[in-house]
Amino acid sequence: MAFWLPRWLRKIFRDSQHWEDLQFFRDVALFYGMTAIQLGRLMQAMQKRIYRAGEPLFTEGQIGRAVFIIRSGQVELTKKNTSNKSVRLGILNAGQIFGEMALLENRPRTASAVVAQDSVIYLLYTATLETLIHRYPQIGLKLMRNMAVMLSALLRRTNEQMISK
Amino acid sequence: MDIRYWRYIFLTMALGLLLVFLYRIWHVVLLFVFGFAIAYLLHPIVDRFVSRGLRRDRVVLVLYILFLGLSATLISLLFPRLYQEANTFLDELPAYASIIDGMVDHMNEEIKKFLAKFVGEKANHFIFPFHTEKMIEKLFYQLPSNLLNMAHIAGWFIVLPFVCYFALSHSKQWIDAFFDFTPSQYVENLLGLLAEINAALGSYLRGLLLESLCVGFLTMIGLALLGVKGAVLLGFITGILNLVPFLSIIVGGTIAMLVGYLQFNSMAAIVAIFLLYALVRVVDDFILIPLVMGRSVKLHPVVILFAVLAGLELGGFIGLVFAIPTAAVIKVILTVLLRDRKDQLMISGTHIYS
Repeated sequence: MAFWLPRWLRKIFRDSQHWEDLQFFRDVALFYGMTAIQLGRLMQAMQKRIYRAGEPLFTEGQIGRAVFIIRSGQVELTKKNTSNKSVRLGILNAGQIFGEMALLENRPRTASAVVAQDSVIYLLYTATLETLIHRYPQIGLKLMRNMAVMLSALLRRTNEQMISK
Repeated sequence: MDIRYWRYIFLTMALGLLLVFLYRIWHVVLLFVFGFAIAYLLHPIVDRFVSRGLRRDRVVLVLYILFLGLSATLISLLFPRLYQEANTFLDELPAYASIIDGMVDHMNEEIKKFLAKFVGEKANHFIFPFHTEKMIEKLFYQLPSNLLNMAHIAGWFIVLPFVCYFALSHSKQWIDAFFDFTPSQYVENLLGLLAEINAALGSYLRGLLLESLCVGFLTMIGLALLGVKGAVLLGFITGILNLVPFLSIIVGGTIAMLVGYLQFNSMAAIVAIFLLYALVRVVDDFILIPLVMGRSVKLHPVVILFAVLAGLELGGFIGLVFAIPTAAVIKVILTVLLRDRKDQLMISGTHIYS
């Protein structure tokens, strides 16, 4: 918020929904360490959509163009096994992100996602993000660092699972 | 008959009626399209403030008040000068026309003399088909219809700011509603494509307008420094012509050189104006374009020329305005489709050989 404005003027111009959303995005792993302005810019680049339970988000094999952030509700991830049967990979809750690989590569999705409970989901399109990063490289730097941290955590977890088997 | 068929028939009829309705009121539709296009070009300015936690509707209101104030100031500064220049130009037009016609007559005689050496008496039939006074007469005969169009445009200037204001302050809600209406399985791919078009087209159009504004302004200052009459008008024309590559230097430069020659009656004026246009072109190529265009979609000059001529042929002035954005949209769609196809082929290739 523009702090050089007098308090009464700030009250007139303040967007309370923006600040509420900002608090939510501060805790999303992909956006750790972002300043309020950087987060605000990312929020402008995102698209919100309300989904009903049972609605498909994407299917396995489809080319990924966006990363999904769950604001509220639940999403189920499934993957087809060798006998072409859907196997549940897990349930994702508010604050979690999925489909983040679309930010790194233009490859098909490795799993399908269906809304398990009525949800509010934010979509961040790769094309929009690239324009934003070109204009504000600091945002790109922080995003990529967070992505690396997330991937490294995933790799560690997979290694541990393999050893325990 | 199956209820599905009735539904299809009903939907097709409704769509047909909607298209007929839109065709009948296309002047109104065009007005709204222009309003939304201006809002689309201006929305990054609003987003800058909104991303700092300020309310969109109030930011738009304040920016509108500032913009109207700035426009009023600019118009009050530039319009009297533009009006005066246009009046002076109209007063001097007959004199300029007779000078040009004299030059053309002289050129005709010289060409006839030259051709007579080869074709004899037949050379007398040669006449260069150009007569400025007749052209001006024809233009003035067409003026009443042009003035009517001007009245139409004046009406636009009253309604357009309203459309633009609402588009700027409510666009986010409208886009959200559009997303909610789109079936969920298409949201990612279909609207991802729109995001790609927006990413490439937005920066291209904004860059093009900013570049043209700078070119027009630089030319205006340069011509004013050289003491050429009608510097503001010529700068304005050059800026508009800059939307089509090379047209500003070829057409705009030629008009300015002609005006300069008629005013000063010397070759030095032509050389000075030519050097000025060349300098502006260098500044444009090496400073403005890399600075404002960045990594936006790039259209080949031949494609732009084709698009502009096709737009002019199909829709006159309106076609001209929408020609470049349409060409850019087609290019982005083709690029995305080809890239996806290439990716799919690469994936299937990997699958075969791995």
